[in-house]
Amino acid sequence: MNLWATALKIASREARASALKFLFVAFGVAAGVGALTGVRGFSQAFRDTLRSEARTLMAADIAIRQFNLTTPEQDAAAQKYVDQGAVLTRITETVSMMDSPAGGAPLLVSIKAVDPQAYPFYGKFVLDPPAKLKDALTADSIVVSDDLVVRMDLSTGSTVRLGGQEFRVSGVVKSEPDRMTGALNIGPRVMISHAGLERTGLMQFGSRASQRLLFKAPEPRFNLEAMKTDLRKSFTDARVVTAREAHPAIERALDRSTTFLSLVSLIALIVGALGVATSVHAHLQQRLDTIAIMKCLGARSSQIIGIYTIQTGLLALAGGLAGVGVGAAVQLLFPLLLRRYFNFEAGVHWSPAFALEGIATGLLVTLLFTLPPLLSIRRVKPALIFRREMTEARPPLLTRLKRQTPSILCGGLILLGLGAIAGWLADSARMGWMFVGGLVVSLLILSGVAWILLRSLRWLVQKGPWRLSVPVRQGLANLYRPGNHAGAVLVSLGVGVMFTLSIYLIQKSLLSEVAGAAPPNAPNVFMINVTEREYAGLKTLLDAQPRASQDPKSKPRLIPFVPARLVTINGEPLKLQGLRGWERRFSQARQVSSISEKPDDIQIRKGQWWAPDAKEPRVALDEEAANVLKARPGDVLRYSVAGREFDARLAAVYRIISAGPGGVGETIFNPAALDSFSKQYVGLARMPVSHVQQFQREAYAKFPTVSVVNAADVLAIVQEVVDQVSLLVRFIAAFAIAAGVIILMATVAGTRFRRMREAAVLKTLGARRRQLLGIFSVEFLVLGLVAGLMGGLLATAFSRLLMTRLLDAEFRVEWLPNAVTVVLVGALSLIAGWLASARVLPQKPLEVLRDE
Amino acid sequence: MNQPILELRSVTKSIDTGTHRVDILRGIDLAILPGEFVAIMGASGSGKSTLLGLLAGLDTTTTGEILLDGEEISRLGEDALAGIRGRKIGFVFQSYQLIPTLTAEENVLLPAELAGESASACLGRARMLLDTVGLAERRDHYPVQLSGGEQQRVALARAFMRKPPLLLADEPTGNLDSATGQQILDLLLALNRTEGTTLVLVTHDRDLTIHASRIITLKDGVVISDERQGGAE
Repeated sequence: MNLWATALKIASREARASALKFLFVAFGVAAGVGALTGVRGFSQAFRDTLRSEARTLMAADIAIRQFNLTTPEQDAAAQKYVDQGAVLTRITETVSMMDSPAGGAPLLVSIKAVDPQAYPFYGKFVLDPPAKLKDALTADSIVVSDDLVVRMDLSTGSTVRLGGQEFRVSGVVKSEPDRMTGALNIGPRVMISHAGLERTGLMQFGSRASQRLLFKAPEPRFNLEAMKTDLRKSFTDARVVTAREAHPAIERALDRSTTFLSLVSLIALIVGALGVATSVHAHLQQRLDTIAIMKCLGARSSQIIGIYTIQTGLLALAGGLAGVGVGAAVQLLFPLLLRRYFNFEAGVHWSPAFALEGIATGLLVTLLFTLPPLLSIRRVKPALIFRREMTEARPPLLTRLKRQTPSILCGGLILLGLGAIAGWLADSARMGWMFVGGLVVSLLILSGVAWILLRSLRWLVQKGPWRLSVPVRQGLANLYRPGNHAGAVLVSLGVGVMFTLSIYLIQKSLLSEVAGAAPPNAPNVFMINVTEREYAGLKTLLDAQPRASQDPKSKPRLIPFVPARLVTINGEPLKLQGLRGWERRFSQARQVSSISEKPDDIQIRKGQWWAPDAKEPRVALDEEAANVLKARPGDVLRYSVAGREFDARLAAVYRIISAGPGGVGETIFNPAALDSFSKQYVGLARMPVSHVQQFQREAYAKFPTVSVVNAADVLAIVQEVVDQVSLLVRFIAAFAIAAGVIILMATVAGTRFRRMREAAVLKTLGARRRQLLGIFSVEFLVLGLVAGLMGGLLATAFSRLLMTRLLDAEFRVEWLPNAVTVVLVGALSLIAGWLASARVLPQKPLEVLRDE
Repeated sequence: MNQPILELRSVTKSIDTGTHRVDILRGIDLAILPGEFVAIMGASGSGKSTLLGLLAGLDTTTTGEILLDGEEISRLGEDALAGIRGRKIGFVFQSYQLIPTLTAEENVLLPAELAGESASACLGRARMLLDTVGLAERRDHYPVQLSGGEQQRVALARAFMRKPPLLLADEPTGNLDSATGQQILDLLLALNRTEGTTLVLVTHDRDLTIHASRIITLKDGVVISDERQGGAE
């Protein structure tokens, strides 16, 4: 105990005397921990906010949809959660004919009966004229969609008939947040209260209606996945989904952005730790004499290691505390900066857990990273004091390896520890190991490059045919001289650059993926019930409409659909035994589309899209459908359309990347496959929002049977989520990159103490400040350029690995950021070097030499 | 008092410079008795400092044995040697070797603290020693705030802190002007006398050897003379 007390005493005395130097080291930890706690705390709030945005698209946390009325057992299962504090509301959806007492043809409408007191749990239901849903929906009144207003020439106050009962139209639906969860292809929307639906008498035994149960979780952090799994046991034939699952594209965007945030915090910490390791290494190098003296005075290696471990621990703790302060400030600052764009419903909580987590992680990572320099204390010979230049006889390889055993063990320990921390921070062991793998490979490559570089430089300076100027020669020689840790600095700088640039590259690729969820040409108007009769006329009408953008991809499209049933796969009848609930949908006829060119809103995951002139029938499946059916490209799928069966080879498996409503569906054929069948069409167009109503009128006037659905409100919600994800990803990435740059600069600047003696000696020998600056500049520039180049290349490889393996996304290699990185790191290294030298150069030589 | 405090048996030391091997010490046999004041002399490169390092267990021999108080130390591990140094050996170096981040008093206290001695007991002795070397007033100064002579006085106080039976000094006045050097030597001898220490001093300054009881001269790694003189202690 006494020994530790002594170690503590000596450690604190040392720290007190070199406060400035210690500040440098603590700074690295502070930046890392600050970024970690800031990003983690903030991303929690961000996740909550986005989750709440996403659930507005379903109006609930969990939704169950089935075509039967609930059984008593199902009611009991639902009630269990109500008892736990969840709120439940039911929605009944059906179709019926509606007409107006004033006359005109009756129209098929899609009826949605809700309890206006409870629905919607999330999001806003907007009516024109503005009113609350609970006031607008009574047993005698309904609200209708804008296309219905056009088609039946209705207005607020009009009377319509449903199931023979009269209802007053009390408003027009302007925004129905969960519209995407229903089917688009039935008819214009009518919203009614349960009492109203009762009054229509439409719900008789055997009526075709779907039941939806919407749940609001008892509290924001409620385990929805467990609840879903549990509910599925009772609702076997139903589709039970959480808000995130309901919209795979949005879910992917959220998933990836949260994974990305974990990644960023991890990188921030590793870069911080690298800074610390470099600083501690430099610190111990300067302490070699002190260590030797202490050994002469009777200190055991373990005692000295204890002293410096305590010192490092104290530094890490101080840095950690400062970092937690920075993190708290960041958490407060972010919402202020983003207030204009973001409505932080959940609010940013500063939690002591994050603070403790940050401090503990900072401490652990710092100690892990400083193990090698700390253990190297054992190798410091006390005789160093007598003969600094003493070289020992080179022992045989086995002895050398034996001596290196602790270092090798400690390297393994660092990697294990780091992997565990990474896995814990990211909630994914896989990510942890990827990190460690990336780090090991980078360290090996960078060490190799450093070795080759330093030897090449030595050859260049000593044997090269060129006559180099004094600063260039000295600057280059500085890099390979014994005692210069250019290799170590190059490795840590390179790894730092790799991680920092990876953040940029990943966020760039990620953003283009996320943006794909709400492409600027995503359709906001849908036309359904378009037959071949209306096709040409509607096409002409659509082409004459103003477009939201002049992008050729935003041209209106009319996609042909036919109902088709899958009969066999590779000659085997469909096996539906293992499939449950929603997965059984493939046993029935489903709408399939026919498209020649690959649409922009899908991404091919496996196989290849067909040539436009392919004569053989080809089919492409959505990846979820392909998974359920266990179908792979090359398989032969037999379909039955209008009683006729034909075979089509599965050409591709795709993923729908757009999160907007409507689209191509989960089965697409090439035109040749469906040529001979009579088709219905779905029209898709992107129009200026202000023009949609006019188009609805024009279309109705010319094609009264075609329904025109305005989906601008739903698209706006999707756009909002995507915009927010993009903004946050950009913001956090910028923050982490800035932190990375500062830490890297500190790493370079941290070597300045080593330069003091050299500068003093050179000055004594007559070197002018300009010459010294020149020498240092060459040294820093070479370090920066090489670290930038290697870090850049490694970042490309690492980002590719993370994007394809972890984020399940595409990665495009971009050389421009790499080129910019090389220049930038070179420049930053130079600036950091100059800033550091600014304090070294004016020092009087004697002051430094005496201090030695 | 017949058993030597230090004994060297056929000690050699060679180093490998990478391209060739240099034999620094080539078979040294030596016995130093308790209470002796031994001066080791020789030109630069004769192996004096290496010999001192080996005597202190700071380095290992290539061949041969070194016995300190009858205990073979040339093959001991680092930590065992550190323990022996802490208990039995005091050091004075040519370039003082104070720890720059500790004050004068803290430097003096350090050997005792490293041995785990209680702070209050050590503090009294540290102050007494600082007082003896005339630096009581400057105990809170850092090495950089002290002159060379003052730094060496702190180093002297530190060397005697744990009352070591053996004191090794490597050119203790080498970096000082002659007046300050003389002052340091006087202090060293006075402390040596009061503390009853065996003193081994490496120097190439013949003036310093006047007080020695024995002068050993090295040349090219071998002892070329070992003279006892009656004048000193």
